[in-house]
Amino acid sequence: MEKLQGIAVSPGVAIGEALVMDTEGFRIPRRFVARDAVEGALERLGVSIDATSDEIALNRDAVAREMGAQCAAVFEAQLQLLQSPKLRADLEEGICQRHYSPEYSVSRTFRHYAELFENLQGGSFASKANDIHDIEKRLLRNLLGQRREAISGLTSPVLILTHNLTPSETANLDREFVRGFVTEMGGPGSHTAVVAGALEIPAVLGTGPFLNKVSGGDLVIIDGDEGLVIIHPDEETVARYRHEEEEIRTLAVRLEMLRDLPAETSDGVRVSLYGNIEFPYEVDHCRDRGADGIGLYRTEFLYLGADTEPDEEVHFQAYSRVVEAMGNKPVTIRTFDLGADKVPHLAESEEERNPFLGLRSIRLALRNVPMFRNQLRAVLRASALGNVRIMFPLISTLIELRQAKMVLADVMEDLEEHRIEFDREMAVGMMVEVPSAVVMIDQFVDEVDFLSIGTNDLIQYTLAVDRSNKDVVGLYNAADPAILRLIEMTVRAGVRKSLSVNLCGQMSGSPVYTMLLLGMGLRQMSVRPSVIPEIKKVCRSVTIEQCEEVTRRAMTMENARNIKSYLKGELKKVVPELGAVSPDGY
Amino acid sequence: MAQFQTSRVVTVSNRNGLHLRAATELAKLVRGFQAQVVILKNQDRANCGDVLETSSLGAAMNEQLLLEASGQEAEEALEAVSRLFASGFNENAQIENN
Repeated sequence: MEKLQGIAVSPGVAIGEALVMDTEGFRIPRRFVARDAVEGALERLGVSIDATSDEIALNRDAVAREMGAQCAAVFEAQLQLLQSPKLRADLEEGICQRHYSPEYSVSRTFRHYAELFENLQGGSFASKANDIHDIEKRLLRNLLGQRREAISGLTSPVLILTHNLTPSETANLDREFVRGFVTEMGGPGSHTAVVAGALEIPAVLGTGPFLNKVSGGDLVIIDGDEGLVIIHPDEETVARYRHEEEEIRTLAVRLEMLRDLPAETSDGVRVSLYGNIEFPYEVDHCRDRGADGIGLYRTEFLYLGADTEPDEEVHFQAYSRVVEAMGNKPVTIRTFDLGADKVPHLAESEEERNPFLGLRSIRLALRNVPMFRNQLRAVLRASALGNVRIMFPLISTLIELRQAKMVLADVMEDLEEHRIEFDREMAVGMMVEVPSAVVMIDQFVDEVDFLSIGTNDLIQYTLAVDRSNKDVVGLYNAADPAILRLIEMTVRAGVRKSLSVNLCGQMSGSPVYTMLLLGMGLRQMSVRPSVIPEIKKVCRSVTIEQCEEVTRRAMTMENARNIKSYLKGELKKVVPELGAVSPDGY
Repeated sequence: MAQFQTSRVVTVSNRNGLHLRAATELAKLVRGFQAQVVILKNQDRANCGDVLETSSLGAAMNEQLLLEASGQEAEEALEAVSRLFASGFNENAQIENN
């Protein structure tokens, strides 16, 4: 059994067979072969070894011709290794005695020797492990032939373990069979992390190198709550996680009964629970959980994974699907919120020293007005189909907000001229996620229809902490009293003006904070769809008076740890079952 | 298993030890003789003709190894192998092997 700590980006527990992909996205399967297929498997192995030998020999000869025999020595060594009788015996033993598939036998045997070489005394042996990997890769390529199609064509449930997944690879994962994934690379802010949440499967990123310790078909547990990956778990661990899985499922079933009940406190105050989505299909997740609307529709995916800028029609197709599916419930579309580095076709990708403080989001949109207008036109056209609200991200000054609104007014005029239908009364709002916006909130409230607090960025900018930096990530805490004051200021300013105020960061998705936020006067929360039932359960279990008391107490405390443990205690009092299983994370 | 006919102790004299490239030289050499040469390091045995066996012994510089040979050209093979060990597998003549 081996435990790896990574970064938890999507909660839940998954137990199952590993599908291991190497750095080239090259799949390493386990397949046992039937007793009567052993002969065929041995033959396939032999043919592949011969083909691989020929390849290496060709390489050796070419290198020898061009660069001399000395340089070719490394290929000669690989060839000798591949033709080692001991190696052949090990490979065949796996197939004959254990009925491994040739691929699995190759993967296991080479892993064994790679580890052995790495553990030998003296550096020169360790570097030879690379030769082993190299031969393994060639051999597998020959064995798999056409079948090296990566993650497509799955037929049974798997957990994907890989070096890295791009956001578009993540988005294209087969939702029927992929039960979770782990990547060696990546961090919490990455887009892959967001996509993982959207897929609602447990995911852990940034574990560091471990793929040489695991083979396809090995039993693996992904603990998306704690960011843990457990390879070859012992029976006791499996039993513990199965139990946890079961508990989560029972709780989910019980919470599902709340689906058609409103999120209303026991003293009759209605709370709006919205879903955060990334992809149009997630609208179904929201409706299944009885969401009151979409509080945050991120539009970044339209820009990522495409080589060219998405045109108006691409935007419109995506938006209209969501808007129509939600009927008359509100759909809040957030405009472009990416950094220049993520949009190569903008050609603004100059090396930035501090990308988080650089040209991104609304700043980048205002610098690329034609691109921005495309998106705004599509949003406006979609507004004719339902209840659309538009929201500008990363607003840090009034001027920026006014500029964005001016571009919007301009696009509206344009549509009017062309007699294209849209909602003239469409609500216009802003994300409150930069501390300067909170400081000036009394002025902002006069110029918008609604506010939406983005806690992820607000925490990062207020406490000056990069949460992908493990040395300072401890400072990143939603319960920090400074953060709570900023949220309270924003909520109060909105309430005074009767503006709708929403909170759409990860904070609102943790039941630990629900009472606190209600006590501050917040009546709208937007969360990832899967947690809607939990938050609804809390709302239905408390009175506003109770929440206000909790808030009063919490706001007198001076550090995040005390506040959080106090809030956990209060949650446990009102909804004991959530206090027990709710992720500790955030 | 055939009884070996002759044996000898050699010392690994090259800096990189009996790694894959050296093992490859060794295998090529031994194949030229009508003989079986086996290396013993503590409890481990490795056939000189098999680079995986020899290189996974992890024999480092200054380590002593026991060679056992059998077959028609056992003596000659052992002599040639000893010389190869003594020469440090021509390592100095080679370009530095990563």
